[in-house]
Amino acid sequence: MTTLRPFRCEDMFHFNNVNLDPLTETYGLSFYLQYLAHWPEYFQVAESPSGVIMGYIMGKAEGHGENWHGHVTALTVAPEYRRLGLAKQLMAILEDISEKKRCYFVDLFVRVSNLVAITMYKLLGYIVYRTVLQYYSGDPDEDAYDMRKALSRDEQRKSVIPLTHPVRPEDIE
Amino acid sequence: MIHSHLPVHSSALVLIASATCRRPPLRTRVAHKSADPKGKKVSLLLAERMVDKFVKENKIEAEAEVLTYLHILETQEKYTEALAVLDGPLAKKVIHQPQNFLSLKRASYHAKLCQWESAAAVNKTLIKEEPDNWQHYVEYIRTTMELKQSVAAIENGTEDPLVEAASFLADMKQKTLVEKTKNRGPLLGLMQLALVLDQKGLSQQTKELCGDFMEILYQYIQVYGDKMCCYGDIVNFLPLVPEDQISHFLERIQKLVNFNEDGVPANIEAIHRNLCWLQLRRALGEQANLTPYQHVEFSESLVKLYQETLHLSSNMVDTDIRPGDAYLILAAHSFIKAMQECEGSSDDIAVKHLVFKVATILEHGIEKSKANFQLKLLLIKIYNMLGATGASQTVYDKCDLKHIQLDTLGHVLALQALDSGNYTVAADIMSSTLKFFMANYKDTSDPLISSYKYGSLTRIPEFVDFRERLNNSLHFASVAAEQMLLDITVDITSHSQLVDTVRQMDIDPIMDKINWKELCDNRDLRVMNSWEPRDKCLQESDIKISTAADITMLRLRNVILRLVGVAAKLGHSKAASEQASANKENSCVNGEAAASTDTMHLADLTTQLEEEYKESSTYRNCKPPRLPLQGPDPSRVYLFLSGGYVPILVKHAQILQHIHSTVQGSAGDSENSSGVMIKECREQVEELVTSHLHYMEALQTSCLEIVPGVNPPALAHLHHLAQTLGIVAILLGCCFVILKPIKAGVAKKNKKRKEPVTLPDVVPQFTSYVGALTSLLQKFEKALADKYKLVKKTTEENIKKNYSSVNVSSSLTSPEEGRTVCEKVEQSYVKSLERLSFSIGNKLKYVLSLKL
Repeated sequence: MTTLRPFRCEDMFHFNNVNLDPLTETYGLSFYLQYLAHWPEYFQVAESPSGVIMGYIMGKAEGHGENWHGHVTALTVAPEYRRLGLAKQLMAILEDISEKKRCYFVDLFVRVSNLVAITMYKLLGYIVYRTVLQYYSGDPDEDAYDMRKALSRDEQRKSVIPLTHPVRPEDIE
Repeated sequence: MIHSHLPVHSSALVLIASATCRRPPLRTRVAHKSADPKGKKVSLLLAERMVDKFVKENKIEAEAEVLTYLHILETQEKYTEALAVLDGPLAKKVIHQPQNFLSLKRASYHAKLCQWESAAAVNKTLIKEEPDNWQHYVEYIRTTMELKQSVAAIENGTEDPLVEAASFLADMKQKTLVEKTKNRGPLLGLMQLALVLDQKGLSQQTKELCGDFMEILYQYIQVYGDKMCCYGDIVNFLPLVPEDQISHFLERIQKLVNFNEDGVPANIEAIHRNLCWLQLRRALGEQANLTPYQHVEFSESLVKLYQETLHLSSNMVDTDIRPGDAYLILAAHSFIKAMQECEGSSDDIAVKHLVFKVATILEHGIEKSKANFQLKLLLIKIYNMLGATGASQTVYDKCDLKHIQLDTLGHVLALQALDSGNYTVAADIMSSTLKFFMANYKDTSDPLISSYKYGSLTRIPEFVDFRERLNNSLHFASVAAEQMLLDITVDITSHSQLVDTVRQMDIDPIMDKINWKELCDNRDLRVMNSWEPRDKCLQESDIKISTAADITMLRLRNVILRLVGVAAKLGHSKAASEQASANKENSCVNGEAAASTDTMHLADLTTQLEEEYKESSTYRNCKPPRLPLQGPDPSRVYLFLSGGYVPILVKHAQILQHIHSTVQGSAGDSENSSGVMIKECREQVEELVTSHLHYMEALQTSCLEIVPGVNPPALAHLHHLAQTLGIVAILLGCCFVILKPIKAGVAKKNKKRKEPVTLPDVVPQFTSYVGALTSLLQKFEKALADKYKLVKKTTEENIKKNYSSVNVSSSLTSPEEGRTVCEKVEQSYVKSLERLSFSIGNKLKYVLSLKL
């Protein structure tokens, strides 16, 4: 039982119970605000009945031609609200909006070590489209999977034919 | 993107003008109050007319344009017109929004127009479409209740809408139970109705409408008690649990837990169920009357449960928190309660060692569950209770706080580190905090332009409000003031260095830069878990009291800072006037005029400081209220005001003022008033320093003897003493700059004349005071340096001996883990004393340079 609603600037004052999770990055203000300004419909928050932020999704639509797609920039759920299907609900919103925007597919990047997330995305119908080498900087750098799910506009499902070779971050469009 | 060729951009511009008129940019913030609401109204009307025209000409094409139109109507509260838009062809252009977007708008417009029946109908449909979206239930029940009350008022005998709502909610619940979906909303709908009935004074209808509330609650726990979120889902409804049914209810909940033959939860689901029961026990007041012994006993049983169930989460990844972590948090809460209740009589339980034991347990928990920030925040609190902010920092770093978190969570360590004399830690945190705030204006400006570019105009007022809320952050203003006070009171060793530093700071003594009316408390004080009964949880009134106390502290610190700013200028302008006098007559006149204005400002600020001190009397010589654990640490103002620092600063500012006026010739030194004032200053400072020797002695620096709550005030007093003496040195430095030319002038005249010219009395009086202050500082510096050396030596010895005499291990933790905690804590005191000693040493150097 969740209130799903558009993210507001004010939520940044209360999203600590989500963002204190080590895998959830807290970005500079301009990052959030640019998403709110450019793709407000893609930035949705899940709130509990007592007003606690349970998780949120931020995304965007980008690309040209058959590469026009929805992108999941961040999806996070607070630890105590995991395994309740919340991520699924948030992803459904993003996919729904991407469908409405006539996107060909939705994609996202995930650390290759994040098995929990990878498994969840696979259950939601995403496939590993390609591996992006050393996408996440750190010590050491970590590879990412670029995962995709075709939308109805991609009738021939061309967007989800996996690449056979890994790519480097600079090769990503 | 919004079509750039469309004239709707013009209306957008009008809208932006209206938004920015509401909250002017920083540079014009002073004029904020004069923002013209009429202007806003006219702008909006104009925007509406422009869009109306485009609608008639069929020029509205993009979704963003329709949303802008709706926003214009909403802002003017023209909900009927907004509903007409939803009913008209324009609504079809809204195609990129979430499924429920238009329905939510419709429901809200109906509710604004008090069309309760329609609003409730839309909300009901929304529940059917999205059975797990909680906002629909809240709004459905609210609007139905409004409908009921309006109908009752108009015509009695109409069918009760609450009956229909209850029946609908019961059906939803039943359907969910049968279909076994993951939707939690339908199971809570009736409880929300019961809650609203209770709030409206209609609880006698609950049974008839909702059925047995306790049964619904039980049913929910039965289904979702094995989830970590269960307690959070039902906490709002707990006040509805009748007191006489608590024990029976808890017995039933406990029976849901699947224990193994050893009485330990058998699997992860059982851990959650067991925790839910424990949390409910606490929330329903079952542990309110435990004695400290019982608290400790209970905590130990929880630590044991944690230990015995840890193997169940051995397959979990590092990114997940351990299901049993809440055992440790509950245990720590109870341990802390036991310590608090034993305050002052530590004989009953080993309070001294207990706090180290708790810290070690939490360190252990963090090591096992690296993602659990609850454990981290709790441990920071515990280290803060010991005044061991160096240890707090090691945990703070693990939280990786950045950007806006430096505002919302800055209260967990920044100023505590400062007050404990851990200046390096404090300076690090304050510096990154200020960098964040400084970048705020720039970081929020580009998105404003983007909003215009991409047509999300409704965001503009939100962005502007957000920017201003950060700009007016109480934490920002406090850290900015403290950072400057720190810069001028720790490292400064001479007056010229002080003048340079103050000049770089750009302190404005005349114009108070703080927008007091708009100050915002942005602390996130709900982030820490608590399972206390509702009346024991952090209340809004607690937060208000704490904010008011922090504002009082800021007021005092702000005036002190500005006072130093003008004092430094005063000495400087006097020196400048002397310099100018040697060069040019006109400049001399200008220099003196500036000096005179500065004297006036010094007098004003001194009076202001006196007044602020008088007005803050409620915080003086009293203890700060004890707030629940998830609340902020005690406000700093209580301790600051009980130390006698402010009157000393006032007195020294008055001396400076007096000396300046006497030397300028605008006032005579009648009845040797400077002599009297200097004497008073000397006595007050002597008393202050002597009394602080006691705080130094009170410091407990060996982990064998440390009791929580003793060291933070002792260290804070030493820090405030060091800062006060720093400011005293600065003010005396300003006197010195004024008196030096007098003495030099007299010496020069004496060389030429046969009959010696006598020095004004104030010169030898000043010299004598500086001499006395020097001796006092020497004495204090020696005591502090000795203490530092002693603590350092003891700590080194303890480390060498591997803390063999200390035993803070528990069934969960190893002696080695306990020793690591002890070392962290003791090392923190070494650092604090080193920095305090260094700071006092610098004051001594400063004062030694003031020999006339």
